[in-house]
Amino acid sequence: MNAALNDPVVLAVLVLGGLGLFFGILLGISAVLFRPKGNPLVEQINDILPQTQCGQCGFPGCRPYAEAIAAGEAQINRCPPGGAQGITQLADLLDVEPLPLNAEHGTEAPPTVAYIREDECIGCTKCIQACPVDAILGAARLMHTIIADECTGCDLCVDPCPVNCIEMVLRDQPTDNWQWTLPAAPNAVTLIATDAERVD
Amino acid sequence: MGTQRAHALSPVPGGVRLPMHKERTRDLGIITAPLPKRLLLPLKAPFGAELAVRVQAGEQVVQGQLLAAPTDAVGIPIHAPVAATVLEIAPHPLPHPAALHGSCIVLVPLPNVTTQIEATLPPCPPVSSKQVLLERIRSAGVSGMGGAGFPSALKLSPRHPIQTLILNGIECEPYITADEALMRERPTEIIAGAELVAHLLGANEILIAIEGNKPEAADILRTVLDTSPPKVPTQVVVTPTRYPAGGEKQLVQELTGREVPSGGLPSEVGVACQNVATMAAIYRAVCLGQLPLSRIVTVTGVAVAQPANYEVLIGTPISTLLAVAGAQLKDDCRIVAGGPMMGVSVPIEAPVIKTTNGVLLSMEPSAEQAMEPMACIRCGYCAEVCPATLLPQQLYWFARSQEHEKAEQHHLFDCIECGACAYVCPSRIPLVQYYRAAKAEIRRQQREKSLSDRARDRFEVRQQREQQRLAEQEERRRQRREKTRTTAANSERDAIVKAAVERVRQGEDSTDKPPPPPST
Repeated sequence: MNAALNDPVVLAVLVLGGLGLFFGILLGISAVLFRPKGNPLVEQINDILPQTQCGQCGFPGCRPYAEAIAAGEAQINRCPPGGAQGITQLADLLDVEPLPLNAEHGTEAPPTVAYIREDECIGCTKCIQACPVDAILGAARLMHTIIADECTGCDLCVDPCPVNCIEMVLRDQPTDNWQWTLPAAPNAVTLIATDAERVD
Repeated sequence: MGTQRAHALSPVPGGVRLPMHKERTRDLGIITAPLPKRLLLPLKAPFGAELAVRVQAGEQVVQGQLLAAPTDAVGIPIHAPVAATVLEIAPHPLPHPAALHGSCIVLVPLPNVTTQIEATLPPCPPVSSKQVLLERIRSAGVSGMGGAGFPSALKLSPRHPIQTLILNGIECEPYITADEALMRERPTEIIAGAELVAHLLGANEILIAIEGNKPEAADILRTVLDTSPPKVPTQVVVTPTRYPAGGEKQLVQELTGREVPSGGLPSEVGVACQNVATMAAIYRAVCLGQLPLSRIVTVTGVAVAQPANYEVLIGTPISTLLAVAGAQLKDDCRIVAGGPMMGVSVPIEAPVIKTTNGVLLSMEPSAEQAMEPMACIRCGYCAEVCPATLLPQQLYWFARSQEHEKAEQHHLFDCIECGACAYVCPSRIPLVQYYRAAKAEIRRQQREKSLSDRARDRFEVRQQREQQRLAEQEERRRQRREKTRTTAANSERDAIVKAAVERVRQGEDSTDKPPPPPST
């Protein structure tokens, strides 16, 4: 036995094998201990989705859609509020080709906010139950109103209203929402003059 | 000057030498502009939420009366510049590059008032606590008069200890001589204000920074310092004439050798930077009880007959000011509020606000003169002149292709938008506009992200609540079922007992009868 240990080859095999075993066990334990909760890809996709919770994609909210995308069950072009920008971001994340927005699920539109014509409201609470983000305030047989800052413009409250007193209006663009825009592309010329001649 | 040893300057990166064009107005002193027919006071300040209006249309107000009060900590109150009648509170053009309209209080000055600013508050007693002084500066509505117009009271309560107070009298923008005129005409006010501010900040040194092209102003300030030296050691520092020497971070680095960290404030390196005009305004508000209801504005430009430094009431329409200066308005005129490098093109109806240090009337370059921007040839001149040591050509590509993440990695937000890169660009690329657009887009995306995060949180909380509600409902249903089952079981047992009792009773009633046959 001692003689075998003195043999450098045996020793090397033993040491390396021991190390391998040790790290293997360590990795195995940590894989169980530190397993991430849920699918991290779902979180990343959900982060990109606009969180309007409008259900236009055909799923009951943004997270279910994110789960469907992560599972490969849904295309990335079903979210109109996210628009082309959202699709590009999703395509970058998932390393797939960006697709044009699927018109079946709606078209890109400027941001809106729900508005309740309050004197017509009968206080049925149906819209409160429909609102995915708790942005409607009111109680049974009392007037309801929208908390405009919290409204995502999903329009899920419009259909349930029995007296049609909810409408979607364009969100006000306050003055501090103005922003500088990129200068117009200069004649789309991006080559320096000498190179442009060569191309011609 | 002989009495003081020259302050050592540290080298700063970048910068350009510009033709300054200051000679037309620099020796003219300060002229009081006549009373305008109307005053427009915008309710939307660069900082803080919209103000709460305290007056109504038709009401008469006296000079210094509070017209609108801030609703948050960073708001700046608005006071009536003169005794006047409130005409209306309605949208009017703002001094804004997109000529946006915003709610303004419109005042019509009473017929026989003067533009003289009277003391409307009692002066602060000589021994006042810092709290009292700061409260006075806040309620008087003093805000930075050189740069972005940040409320002074907040800037004077920094979180870090301050050793050095730098007075910014650089005025590195071409054409503008408002601060120079102030330093030459009212040096004592500036120094008194600086002493007060140094006391508030606990600074043990005051440096008055003046660019080398204003030797008269430097001499006048030195004379005042020599005749009545302030309690805090104060010296005048003359810096080389180089744009943008007056940028806050650049000035701190040049005078102290300390670099302000990226995204940080000068107070983090123990320095406070204040504009000279702000010092005079603080002195007047605290020691004289005069509110900052006017400011000095340089009106100049090729088409202006009488360029001068005018003392102008805040809210005076730029059109009135140009008429006073004898401007020849033509169709191709462009009106710039601020200097030619960082100023913005504004509509003529817009008013003078607290940060307007100059009004330039320039000619729109004719079609032949205006050169189309051409392709970037990567000459690198922009990187040489960038005072923030950024790579403007890289930022240009990232902004143009909307690669915002990379732009941020290349420190887009350290860009001070001084325009030095665009000035030297041989291809005449409007670089600063690219950076402004990219910054605005990044800020918009961040805002949207925070909104969507909020919506997600609300959605998830609601779902959790919904699930809990369903679980509770299920639980109740289960309990009810159990209850009915037990009651049903109970009634069955009762029925058996009852039947037995009945049988027994019947048995007693008919003892004479034969017992029922035993069931089989």
